[in-house]
Amino acid sequence: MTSIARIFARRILQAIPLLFVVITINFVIIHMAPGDPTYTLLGESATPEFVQAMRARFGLDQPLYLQYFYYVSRVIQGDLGFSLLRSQSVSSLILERLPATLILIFTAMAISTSVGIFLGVTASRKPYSASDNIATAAALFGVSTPIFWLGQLFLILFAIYAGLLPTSGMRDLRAQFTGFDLVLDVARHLILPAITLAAFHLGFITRLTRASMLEVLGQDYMTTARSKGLDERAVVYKHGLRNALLPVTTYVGLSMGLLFGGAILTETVFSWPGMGTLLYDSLRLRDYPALLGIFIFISVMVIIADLVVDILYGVLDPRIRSS
Amino acid sequence: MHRQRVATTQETEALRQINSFWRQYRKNRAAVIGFFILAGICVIALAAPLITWYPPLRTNVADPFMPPTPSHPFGTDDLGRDLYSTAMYGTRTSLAIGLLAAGISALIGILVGAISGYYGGKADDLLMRTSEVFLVIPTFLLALIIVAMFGATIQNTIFAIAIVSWPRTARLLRAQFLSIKETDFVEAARVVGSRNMDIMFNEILPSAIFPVIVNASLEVATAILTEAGLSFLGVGDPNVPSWGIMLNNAQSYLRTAWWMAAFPGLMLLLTCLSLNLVGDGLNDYFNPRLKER
Amino acid sequence: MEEPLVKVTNLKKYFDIRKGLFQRKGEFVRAVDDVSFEISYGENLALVGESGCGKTTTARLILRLLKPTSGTVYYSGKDLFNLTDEEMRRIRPKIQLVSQNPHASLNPRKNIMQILSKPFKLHTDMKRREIQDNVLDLLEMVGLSPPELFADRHPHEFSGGQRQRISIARAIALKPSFIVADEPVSALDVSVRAQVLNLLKDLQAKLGITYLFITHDLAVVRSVSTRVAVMYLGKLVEIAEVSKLFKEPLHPYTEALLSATPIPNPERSRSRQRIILGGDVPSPINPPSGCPFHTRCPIAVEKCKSIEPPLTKIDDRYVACLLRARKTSF
Repeated sequence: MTSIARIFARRILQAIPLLFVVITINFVIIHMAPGDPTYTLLGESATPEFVQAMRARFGLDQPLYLQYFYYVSRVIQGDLGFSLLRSQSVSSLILERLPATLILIFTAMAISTSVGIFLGVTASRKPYSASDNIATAAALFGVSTPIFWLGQLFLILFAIYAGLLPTSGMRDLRAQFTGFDLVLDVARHLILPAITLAAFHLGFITRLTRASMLEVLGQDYMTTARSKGLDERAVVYKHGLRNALLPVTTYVGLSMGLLFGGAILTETVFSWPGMGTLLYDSLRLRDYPALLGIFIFISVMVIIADLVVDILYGVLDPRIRSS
Repeated sequence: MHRQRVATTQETEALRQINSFWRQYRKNRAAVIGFFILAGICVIALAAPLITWYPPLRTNVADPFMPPTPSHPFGTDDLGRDLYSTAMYGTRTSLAIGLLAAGISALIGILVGAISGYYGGKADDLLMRTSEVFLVIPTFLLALIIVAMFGATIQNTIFAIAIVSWPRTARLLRAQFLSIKETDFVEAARVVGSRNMDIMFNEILPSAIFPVIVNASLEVATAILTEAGLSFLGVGDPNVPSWGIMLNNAQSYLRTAWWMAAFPGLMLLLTCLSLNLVGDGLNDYFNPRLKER
Repeated sequence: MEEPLVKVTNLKKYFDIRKGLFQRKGEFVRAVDDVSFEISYGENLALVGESGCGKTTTARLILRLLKPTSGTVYYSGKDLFNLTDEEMRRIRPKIQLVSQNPHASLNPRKNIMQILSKPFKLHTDMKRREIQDNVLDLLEMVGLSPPELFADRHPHEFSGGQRQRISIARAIALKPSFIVADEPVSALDVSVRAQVLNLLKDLQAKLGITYLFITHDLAVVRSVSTRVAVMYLGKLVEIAEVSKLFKEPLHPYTEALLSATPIPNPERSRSRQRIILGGDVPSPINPPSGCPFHTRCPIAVEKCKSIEPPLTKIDDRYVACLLRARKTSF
């Protein structure tokens, strides 16, 4: 087995139990929550006929451990439940809303990573100087500000008072743009939510990059590079950055979970039609099947994203490959 | 006996340590500011009845949608409630939830991390696999689901947050235990005849606890933000003054009543900012960085 | 024949090397490979050898800090590995350790009073005052006077030599009969070593302690020990009384070790025969067949490659060499 294939296999083997744990957590919650688990699973508005129809599928009158197997097999096949309230399967509800959320998350990740690294590197070049202090302070605020309030603040300032940007939604429903105009329209709507979502991570990445760069810059091999007579900028960027970025990459890889959480809050503020608002509505409607289905879906997505990042990491970092 | 009594008492030793701690902590100016802001917030929490003159959450104490005025410094909301007193009393909610959730999470985390790190073996494997789950799945979402399914009360909120936060502390502490348990002085403790519990909590823990302490203030900030987020989404306890719920309320009236959103959020910001600054200060204290050049 | 205080019989410790879940090779590090010896009351047995020869592991086994792969350790006639944890705990005050690194052997978070009170708190029910008095006595006994100055300080405020004395104080707190000293002076400045070694000798005379002295420095052995045991790759190759060993080493490895020890007298140093061993120390994972030393031995012959020499008794010494074991003593 080549080492890359071995990393692949090992990570996948590690991920599978995690998936099972997530499904199990769901199952446990269904059965431990107050009220009849049947109605938690099928929704409060389940009619007797509906319950009857689902009896076989979920093994509702079987002992608990059998119900568990039924549940797991349903989920694995992609059946996340049916939302009676909206007359749709949960999976289809989710897939409708998924693209919007993904656009938001990836844009935010791109912004926070690029700007964060830039600010962090800049701050580290002259530690404790004015520019460093400003960057550090900005980062600190980014990390301490509640996301939803920041969104509201942006909304108030830029959308309501300045009127520069739209206040809600993903696109202008009246104007019905198509093609490139549509892209621009979405972009306009995307700006505020994406920056809001990016704020925390930007702050974190800035602080992380700065700390990492400072540590790397002070190390012995940097002094060696300098003594070779290399231009300062080459020293900083070529030698220092590559190593300093390792912990940052790790963080970015692991931040999917946080980003989903943040996306829920951001979408609610901006009425962005993604999974966040789906979740918010489901909360208000007490649509339990939808809530649980969304939880499984997002968890699985995060696990897979982590898996991909891990494997990429194993491929890229020779040190891990040889272990 | 002819020799003098050794001057070490518990009290003087503790005072000496506090003194030297403050002297070192003081060096980070931002951390000091953070400390005083935090202290101020604690004072507000304790003295809330003294500094407000309307009961929080009581509807119709004045006209609805009043902008900030001297008698209502933060304005009023859609139901005519005084936002200033709600915000001040909200301090209690946030601090209580933050401290309790972080405290419970720390207790669980320390226990699990200590046992895992010290004994190793199957128990360690199992516990670490379990904590890995919490690192990967979105914890905010899990807390949300738990509170949504079990009911939106303060107790549930505290437990939900504690349940999703303990793994981080556990891992931190376990890593410390793994390295410290191999040291010579721990080996010496075994040779002297100390029992395992004794070694874990009297020999290893005092050295191992530092990263946990640094992490603690961040945990409190995270807990407060999580509670606010949960309340914002509508799964907060409605009978308790909470900044998150205030912001949830404000969402519908952003256009007309900006003050409904501005002030509660500001309180949240100040609280979390000060906690982060204190956390930084503690970090600097335990891992002093050398100012280069 | 008097019963020895410590008797080690066929002690083996193999460490399992497993490389992750997917490769389970049955490879072992043979750290201690069938070692047997005895320590009599009141003596100072030195266990010498180069790094990695297994002496530290042997010490840890005798102190029951590790579990052996096989073999037994008898202390005062009791089989240590057959005792329950509680029973072992009760014996612990009698078997103590002074370890190598003075900077790591004392808990940095505690002050000296707390560190030295521990043995008393664990094994007696003395009141605080009484414990404090005992601790101050201990400090005086190891030469740290006036003791009140030292008691409420923390370890990092002291020098290596002082810390080592505190370590020794901890070891003698409950009047032990047996102390394992694992390289007690190797980490100290040369000027301080003699003081600490003298302290150990004085304490032996005063309190009647038996020592197992682990070291790689033969000069130290010469000044404190009564008997010497030499280890190589987890096995004992020679055991003899100190003066006899230095005068006439039997095992070729011992000869090489002795020739490498610095001698203060420059003339004698220059004129002696230096035995320089060829090759590297073989890996303890795959020790050589037959005599473990044959790969580097200057007098090895064909049969040394296949027959493992047993530890043979010659008069009052032991040696594990096919060629030298036949020599009679003089």
